[in-house]
Amino acid sequence: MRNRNFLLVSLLILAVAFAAGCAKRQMTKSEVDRAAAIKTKIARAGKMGANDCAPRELAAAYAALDHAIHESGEREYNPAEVEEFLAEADKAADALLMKTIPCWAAKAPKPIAMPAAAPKATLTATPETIAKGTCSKLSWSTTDATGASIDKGIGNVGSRGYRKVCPPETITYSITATGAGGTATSSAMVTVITPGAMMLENIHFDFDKSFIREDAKPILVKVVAHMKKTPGAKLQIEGHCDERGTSEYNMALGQRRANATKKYLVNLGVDGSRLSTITYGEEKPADPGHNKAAWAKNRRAVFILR
Amino acid sequence: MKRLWALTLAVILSAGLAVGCSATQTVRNASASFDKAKAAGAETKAPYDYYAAEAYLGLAEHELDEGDNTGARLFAEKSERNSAEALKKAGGGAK
Repeated sequence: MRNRNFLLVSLLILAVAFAAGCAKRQMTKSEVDRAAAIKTKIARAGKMGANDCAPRELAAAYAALDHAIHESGEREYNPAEVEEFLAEADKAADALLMKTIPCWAAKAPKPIAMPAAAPKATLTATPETIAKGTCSKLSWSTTDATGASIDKGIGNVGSRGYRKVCPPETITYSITATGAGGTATSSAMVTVITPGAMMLENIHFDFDKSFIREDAKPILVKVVAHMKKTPGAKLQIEGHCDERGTSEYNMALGQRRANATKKYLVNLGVDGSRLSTITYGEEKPADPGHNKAAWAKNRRAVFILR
Repeated sequence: MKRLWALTLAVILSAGLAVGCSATQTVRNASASFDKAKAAGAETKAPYDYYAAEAYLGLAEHELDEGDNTGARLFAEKSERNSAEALKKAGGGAK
């Protein structure tokens, strides 16, 4: 019985000793910090796609870190050895980052090059109708253009400006603006009237409309005054449209505009027999451009004195 | 009394041997799994898992050489898990 008790106590002592031997050593704070720093480096590489960019290095870094942690927890703890393993893991993490960063940078989405904006150009003549020997003022402006030029001998011009022009006969000027996004053109017609004839300004209309606008009424009053002053004069009213819509539709719309203009003049006292109308639809644009400014110029009634 | 001591010693020795053998077997199993993953082309099809299996197998063998059975088993098990994952990704698993 005494022997059995002795044996039990011995076994107990052995078990305690065995358990104590198996118990892992705690890492020092410095070791924990170093391991955490290495882990952070590896995690950073992981977020940058190390799994694809540097799989071998990623695996090596994780293994080296695990090894260092394992060694630091061993019973036969050797500080120099653990330091060496931690340094090895750190080196592996650095190698991992070195390989991952350029790969990640190459894969990062490139900034999308925005397409260059298309240039815009506007050219106007003020007034649009002049007496022979007098002048008009061309005004222009461009945006998103690197250069601009006006034809009919004017040449290169700045992005915006104006110039006096005194053409001997009716002429259409065009500006061409060029930029990275393409080219844009705009035109302005200067109508030259021979001496003795009254300068009659064009009137303009809203899109798809033929009613007389408020801004046209003072012009029509002047036309009436001239007609009353020169009883022998006859007037042809041309109706014009912009390019939108079918030719047939625009021929009809131009006619409605000419008719509305004639009716307005008759209401102001002009004898209808002195007035004739004709439509050109979209066939004779004042501005060959394909933009709002050009279309606004083209929706007009033109007065031709005969 | 002598018999009891002998028995105790035998138990302790057997336990020690069992632990050592178990570690060796685990490393062997890990090595076999790694070979399977390699044969399935995991190096190109599942490179991270493949290299992790390789790295941990190396550590397991190192620990076994050093007589650290616990470490050997720990790393061998990690290697085996990575090999299994690599094999799965490489499409070389059991059909």
